[in-house]
Amino acid sequence: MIAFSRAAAAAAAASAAALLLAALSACGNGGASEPPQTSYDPAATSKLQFAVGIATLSYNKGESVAYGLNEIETLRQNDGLSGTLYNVPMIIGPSGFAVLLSTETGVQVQGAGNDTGTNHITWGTLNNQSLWIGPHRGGPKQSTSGAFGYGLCACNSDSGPPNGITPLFVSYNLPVYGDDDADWYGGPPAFPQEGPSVIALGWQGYSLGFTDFAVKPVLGTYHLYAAVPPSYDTPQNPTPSPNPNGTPSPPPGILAAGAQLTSLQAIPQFTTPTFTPDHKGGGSIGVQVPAGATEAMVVVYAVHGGEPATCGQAHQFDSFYTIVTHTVGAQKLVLADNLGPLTQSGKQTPTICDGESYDIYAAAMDYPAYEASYPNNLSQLPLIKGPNGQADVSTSDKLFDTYPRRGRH
Amino acid sequence: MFNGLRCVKKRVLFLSVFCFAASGGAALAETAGIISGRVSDDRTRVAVAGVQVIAKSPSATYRTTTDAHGAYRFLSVLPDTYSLSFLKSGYASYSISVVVLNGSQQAVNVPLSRTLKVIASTRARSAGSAFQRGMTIDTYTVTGAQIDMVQGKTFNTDENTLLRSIPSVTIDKTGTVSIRGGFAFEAAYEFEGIDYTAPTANLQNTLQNISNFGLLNGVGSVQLIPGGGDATHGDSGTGLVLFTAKHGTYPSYFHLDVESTLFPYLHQLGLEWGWADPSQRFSNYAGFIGLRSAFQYGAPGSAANTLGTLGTNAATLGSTIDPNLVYYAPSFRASNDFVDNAIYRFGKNNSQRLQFFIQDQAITQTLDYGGFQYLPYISGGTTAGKCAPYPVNGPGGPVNTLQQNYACDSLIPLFPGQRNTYAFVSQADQLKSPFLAYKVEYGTSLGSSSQLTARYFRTFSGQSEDLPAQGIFADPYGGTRTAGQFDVTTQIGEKNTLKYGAIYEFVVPYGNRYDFTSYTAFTTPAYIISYPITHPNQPLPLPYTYTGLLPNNNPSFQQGLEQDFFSPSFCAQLQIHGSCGYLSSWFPGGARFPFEEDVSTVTQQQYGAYLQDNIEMSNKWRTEAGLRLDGYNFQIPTQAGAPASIPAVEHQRLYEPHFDLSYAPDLRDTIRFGFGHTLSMPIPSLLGADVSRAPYAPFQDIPSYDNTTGKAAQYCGPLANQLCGNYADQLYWLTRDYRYGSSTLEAPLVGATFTNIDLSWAHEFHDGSALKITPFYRRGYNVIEQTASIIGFNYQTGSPVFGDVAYSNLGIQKATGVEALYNKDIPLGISMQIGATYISQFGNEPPGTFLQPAALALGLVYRSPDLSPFQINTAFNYQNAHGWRIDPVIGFNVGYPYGQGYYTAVYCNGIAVVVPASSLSVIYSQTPGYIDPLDPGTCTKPNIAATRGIHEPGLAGGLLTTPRVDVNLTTEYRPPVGKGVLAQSVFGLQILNLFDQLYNVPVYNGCYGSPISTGLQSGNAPCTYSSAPYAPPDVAAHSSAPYLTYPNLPPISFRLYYQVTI
Repeated sequence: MIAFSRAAAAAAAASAAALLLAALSACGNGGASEPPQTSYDPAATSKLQFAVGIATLSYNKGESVAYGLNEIETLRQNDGLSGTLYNVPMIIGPSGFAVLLSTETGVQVQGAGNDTGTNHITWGTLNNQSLWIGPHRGGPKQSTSGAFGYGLCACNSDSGPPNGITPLFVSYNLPVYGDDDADWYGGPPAFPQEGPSVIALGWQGYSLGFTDFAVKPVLGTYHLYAAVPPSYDTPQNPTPSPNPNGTPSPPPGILAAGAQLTSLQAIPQFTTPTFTPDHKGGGSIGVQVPAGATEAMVVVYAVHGGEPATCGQAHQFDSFYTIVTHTVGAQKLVLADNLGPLTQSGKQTPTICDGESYDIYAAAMDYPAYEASYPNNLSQLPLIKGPNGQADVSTSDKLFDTYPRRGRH
Repeated sequence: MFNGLRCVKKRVLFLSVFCFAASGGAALAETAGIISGRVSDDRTRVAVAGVQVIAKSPSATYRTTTDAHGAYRFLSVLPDTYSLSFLKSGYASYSISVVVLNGSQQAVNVPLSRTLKVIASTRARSAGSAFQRGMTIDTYTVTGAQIDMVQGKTFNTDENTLLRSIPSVTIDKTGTVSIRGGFAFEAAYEFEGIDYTAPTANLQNTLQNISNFGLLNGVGSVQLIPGGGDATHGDSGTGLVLFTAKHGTYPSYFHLDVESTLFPYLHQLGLEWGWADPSQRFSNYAGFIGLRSAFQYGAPGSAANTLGTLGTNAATLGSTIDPNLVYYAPSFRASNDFVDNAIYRFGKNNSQRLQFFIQDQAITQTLDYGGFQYLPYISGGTTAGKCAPYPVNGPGGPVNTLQQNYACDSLIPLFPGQRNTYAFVSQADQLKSPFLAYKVEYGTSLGSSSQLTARYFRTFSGQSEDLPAQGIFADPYGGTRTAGQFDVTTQIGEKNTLKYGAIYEFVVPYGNRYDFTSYTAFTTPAYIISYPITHPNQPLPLPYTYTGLLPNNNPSFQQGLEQDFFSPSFCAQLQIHGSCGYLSSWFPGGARFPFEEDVSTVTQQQYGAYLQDNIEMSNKWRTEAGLRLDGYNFQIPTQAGAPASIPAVEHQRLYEPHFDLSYAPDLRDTIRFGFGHTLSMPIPSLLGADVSRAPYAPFQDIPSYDNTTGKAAQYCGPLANQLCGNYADQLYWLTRDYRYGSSTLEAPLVGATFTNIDLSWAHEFHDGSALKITPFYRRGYNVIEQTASIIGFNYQTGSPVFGDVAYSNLGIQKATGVEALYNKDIPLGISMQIGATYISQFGNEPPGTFLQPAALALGLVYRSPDLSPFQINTAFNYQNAHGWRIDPVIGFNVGYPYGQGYYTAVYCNGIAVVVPASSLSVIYSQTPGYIDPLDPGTCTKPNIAATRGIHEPGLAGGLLTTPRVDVNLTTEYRPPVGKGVLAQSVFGLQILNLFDQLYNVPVYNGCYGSPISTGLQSGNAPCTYSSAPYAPPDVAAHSSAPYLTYPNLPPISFRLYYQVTI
């Protein structure tokens, strides 16, 4: 009995020691201490929608007009924000659609990369940073294009800090494949004046949603794919990648939407706006909104600088102002005097400084472009088509001038 | 005279309290103890006069006789274990063992019996016991045997291993020691009464301030006084560590220790010799430890570039991952450490003592853990035509190769010995840390009731650097500390002990530090992305409004000062006309950017004086009240027109009250309460460094010129708005602003002060083991904090580049916790020590690398990132009669706080606010939330479209890392043979990191920057790191996780050792 109880005690002690050692060795688990992550599939919770239309392109100082393809897309979560911050978009047109000749220049499109001669618009075009991606304030940029909550944008958050600051909306130089380079941003008064914090990050204005391409539009079905990669190696080689030849059912990780171009009837040419400065920073903008449009947005682009010094210093960066009208025909729109960035002490500055260069151009749409835009519209599927089921746009050429200098102050 | 060589070991059983061994307040100033008491007749209770009292130990013998009241005292007793004997004709002799530590007061009251009685033995309580009846201040003592147990064996040099075993000590995730939280540099260290606080900043680990590099040699015992302590010590901040050296003994001894591990490489040789003459008037202890060790982290064979921030110092750990830093981590260390402690006792009853102590350390560290082959000089390129890592911005855009090459060839300063900019270093970066400390001390009794100790000491702490791969040179570099001190203890009656004393220290930094990388003050480096500069006093973040920092760093102005250095031909090549090549007429052969020379200018006088009274009110009640004056004077010379780079209050004084109360309800319990106010004096190197004008002397006769305006530069002066006197002046102010910013906006700094309150209950069990539990509270005021904003990112590594660093006293610290200690010390069987610390500390430092100015302005506090909330350290020592000893040491903690937090503090339009942490409010790579590029929202209400998938609670620090267990096991065998060398030999095996646990703290993965959506994991992170061959991008190391975990402990190792006593 005694021997048995001693043996049992010894066995119990040994077992306890073994258990303790096992517990000790298990503690720490070799160092893996990453916190648990939650994840969800954006393809399952976000919604992509796509609309196409005819783009009427006024160029050559307004003396010429060309026609191209306009596209609108939204990819939003149910709270209205962009569905993903990284995806690779691709537009595939119907047979007969060719990315080959620019309708503005008449010659082969520039900066189309491997899209040249095909019916698709992909990374090869959209990531061309020398031609199509507009000026990006804030240092070297290596962001790539994606489909966001309201418009295509070269603002993928695709890498760490060495490759750029926080990607923010950067307009394309529109029309793509064209001869002009207008940057379309939504600013005050139609859109909120963002605070210094946001401006300092490189913010230039809100997206107006549309991206037009100076290639011949063709009737038929257009597809937009947004590939959301579950894995990738480099920004230049994301996987999965949409197959240009397409399959009816896109593989997992690819969001898809389609749009029909059923009519080639375009909004008439939008003549170049006029501007009468009031010598106080603002002025009166004269526009002739073409018939067929339901609204128009006029963009005033004030190039940085100007006088006096207090104004010029506050205008260190380019400024964009936007006026919206829902009236068709000739009209005068007031550009208020003091929409400019704040000074260091918080004072408003003139919209355009004396001696500051500016461009004014406008776009007319037959769909609720302004109503679908941020920050006002946070619905997951905002209306982006007009009554005709398309999203047509007519863009004017640019008026450029220099704001007159007043007398000495 | 009694033959002290033979102790009569007859004990007297006594039913009442008579063996009252109490440890009173520990006076750091003293290096001796007091034994006193009263002898009475056990039957009549009448005092017995004329009793011979002998205190004998291997190192010293003291004799005295009781007076008419039966009282006796020894006022200047060397620390040791003494046999205390009482002899008088007509009475049975009596002996008891007493342990004396530095500053201890042992009251041993003895009844003598006229008849011989056989009694149960009384066992003297070890000074290392958790229970010290009647203790007034909170103190932990670790004696020699306990040191061996908690470290596993003798000749263990690791100071951290020893200190971590003591409650109240927390080892942070960088391995730095702190006491009751706080910063590591807020604790104070002494060795034999010498202030071991480093007089200058530790260049390798700015959070650590002990001069002996954390290496132990010749330590006989350690006493730790956390919190307020008593008034006898000053500048103790959060706590005080007192080391006591070993002494020579009679008979003498000689110990030899040889150790080795195969992997990683380590060899150690230890020698110690203790000697005293038969009369024990002369004694000397000498100890030497030579250690050569290579560092290895991670699994054997791990490539250095997969180890991330492993091995970097505390300042960089926790920052955005930078694998390049591991290349500069230490790879090898050689240390030689010599200690000598000579004592001469003389006078009547050996009451006078003269002591000379010296410690001489030489430590050399070879860095570049990743190897230095193909490692270029910091300014150099790796391929002809390429210059890394600082490309120069040109007028046509960033990173122009032509300008890059020109800058490399002709402008970037060359390191001493560097032939050209494309050269590779010929040897690894080196750090040398010589340290020398010595003292001369005299102790004597003043009459029969007073003891005087007077001490003079000096320390020399070196921190020389020769770092060609990092562009830093500083040799010699360090500081000296010279001090004089006296302390007097006077016993007034039997119940009242008065202590008073004073100290004066003079601290002088020396040496200049040369930085060959700071020329970026003159350039517009492309690696700093044009992010707006922010400042607390400016509406944020308007770009470039903070004129104190790099006015030339404005991308709107494409020219940089560097263009002044271009040759005319190069200007033509670049097609830059007008303001280019300004300096060419003065330097026809070309001129390079001047390097930066930092000089230590500030000296510091520290002083302290105290008065303290210890009253034994009754057998149960004891109180201690004291007042200390601590103060310092900074002597801050200034250059003409240039105030101190970091302003400080030149004179600060603090009166520090201390009050302690002890109640011993019975023989086995003591309850104590303590309050103390302490000061942590800022070290002069924080305030004294300044930029020397010497490197700019060649430019002194050149008129000032700003190539952006064509006129004289107007960014000189403390506020960067004064006209520059000449070109040298503008170079100086650009460099100074780059290094220190415009610090005149900050209030002059003062030292932090602390209020310490603690309460203890200690209990002694019947088997001799003891338990002590101590809840505490500590509050810090005027804690010095550094704040900085990120102004950009290193183009190569992704590490943040910080702008102006602002120093202020706006920091606060609040710490509460509970300490517990249980120990049991027996010669055979299982001895053990279990120490646990729970600490909850909140302070201004969020996990990460910097404190946002807005958070400081709002007074936000975070769970301190470097402290584990709970840790327990256990050591067991099993020894049997067959010569075997097994000593496992187990450490456990619940993990360390980390995490970015859901909220952060920023300035929105000039107002400090708490907002969700997003890429709008924080530099986006370190944020848990990413704003919608098309609808960003506002600064206070960002629209977060995607996150990293981590649910981080509240502010930063809301997550805990994996609990951590460290196990070391030592097994020894001492052959039980009769005699000879073998009988004195010990063969041992120590296994470190028994279960090969390679722990780490998660590091924010800056490469996890693709916020595809909430938590949707990407594959390989598309992060581009340095393309230099020595740090190739290692995608595998940068996984698709928001946090990366890297090994930061050595793997399991086996240390064989042989020790012999001769």
